[in-house]
Amino acid sequence: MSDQWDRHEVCADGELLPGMRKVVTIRRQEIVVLNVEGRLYALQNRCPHMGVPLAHGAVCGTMVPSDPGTHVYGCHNAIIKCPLHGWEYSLESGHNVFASEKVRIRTYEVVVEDHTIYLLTPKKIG
Amino acid sequence: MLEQERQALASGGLIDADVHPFMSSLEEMVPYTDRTLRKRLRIGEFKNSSFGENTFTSDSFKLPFQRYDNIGPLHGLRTDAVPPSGKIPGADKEFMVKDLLDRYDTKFAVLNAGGGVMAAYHDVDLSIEFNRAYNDYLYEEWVNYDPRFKMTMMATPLDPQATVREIERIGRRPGVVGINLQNINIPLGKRHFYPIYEIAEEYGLPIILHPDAETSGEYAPAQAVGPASTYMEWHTSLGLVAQRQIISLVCDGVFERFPKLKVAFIEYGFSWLPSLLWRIDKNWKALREEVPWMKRLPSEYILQNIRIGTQPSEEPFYPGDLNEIIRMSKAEDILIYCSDYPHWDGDPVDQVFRSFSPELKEKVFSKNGRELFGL
Ligand code: FES
Repeated sequence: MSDQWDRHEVCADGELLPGMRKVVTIRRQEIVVLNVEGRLYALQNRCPHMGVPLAHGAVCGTMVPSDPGTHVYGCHNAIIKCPLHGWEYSLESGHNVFASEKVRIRTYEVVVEDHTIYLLTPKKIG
Repeated sequence: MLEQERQALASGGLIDADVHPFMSSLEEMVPYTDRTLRKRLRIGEFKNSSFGENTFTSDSFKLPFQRYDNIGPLHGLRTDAVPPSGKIPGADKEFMVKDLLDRYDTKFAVLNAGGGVMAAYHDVDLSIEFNRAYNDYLYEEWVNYDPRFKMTMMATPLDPQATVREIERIGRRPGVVGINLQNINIPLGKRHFYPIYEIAEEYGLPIILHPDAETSGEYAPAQAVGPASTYMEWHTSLGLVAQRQIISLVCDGVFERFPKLKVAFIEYGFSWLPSLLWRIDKNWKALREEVPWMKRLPSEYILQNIRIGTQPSEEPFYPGDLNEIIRMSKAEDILIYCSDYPHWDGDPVDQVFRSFSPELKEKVFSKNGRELFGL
């Protein structure tokens, strides 16, 4: 694993409880690590639309595509909504919900070892 | 017409999506009415008549009053379109054929009822009966007069079921190329209209919106901020009505339900398109949760299902900028030329859009109209 990934210590796992977020800076890029109901996610903190920090965005679900005149709630707590213009990103994949092919934020692997949360970034080649 | 236009149109010919036939008097409808309707309209044997042996002078029924009156000598009709017969402009078929169709080499002209339509009249039953007779009049008197004349049929938007029956009655006649729906104070996205959209889609007939009920109908849509003070204010505001209706159609998912339906806004101008397309897309990215049935960018539905008549063409500070507006809104496939003959605010084909490329002219003057109306 260490052949491919750089490990960055985020904090002790007791410091990022469900509902909490923590912003770390790695290679001058801000990354927000979130604990959503015990599940850890890490994503680029900058909304690609107008640059607002996503760390202030609501974690939520949304209405999934449906037939006209019907609403179907889904993706419960699988989405982060930008605090400024409300673009919705999948916490898992980083895809924007409205145009998944075109806009995407970077997401990162998070692991817990020895009660410490680590964030993995691809190792720089060379 | 310039040689350039002739060449551009050589393949398909000029399609004019907005020409107005007028009646000199309601008496022209007599052959298409039954006794009951003649009585209600006070025409034919009921003209200037009353009970018993007494004869009173009583005017025929008055078409809905147009609250915004054009200040011109002929209330918005062109004085250069007065026929030698002395009829009002647009009321003399023979002259119109020469003055418009022959002069501009028009291949097909789509006739949209002119001057005080009955669509949004307060007595809905009378509106239904009138429209049925009017459709027969227009078909027999005009469409059958010259094969270049096509027509949109009048609908009664306040009664969708009656409109469906009327479409079933005449919607498949050759020469009927659209449904003239008219605006009322129910936004077009509401399910009130879905029976009409369903049959329009099935018959392949586009819905046409054209200003009239905005000034003549009691159910006219409020003009964004309330009644205008003058005809000028009213006319300048019309583009807002079209935008509001397009937003309603798209956001309520009409084109998800009726993907083949086309809705054409004739005589609302088009230079507002970039702002509408950009704004609705931006809002959708933020607010799509409210309208989860919209699975594509709103602008994609608009460019696929909405068509826009070019007239009255806006005149930018720098005329060539119209090309930029069209490029900015990707609108080259949705704009359809309209002369609006014999109205004061018309666009003569040989004068308007001189900065357009031959390819763009071919689309706007011919191809887009042929596709919309199946001509
Ligand atoms: S800055 Fe995030 S949606 Fe606009």
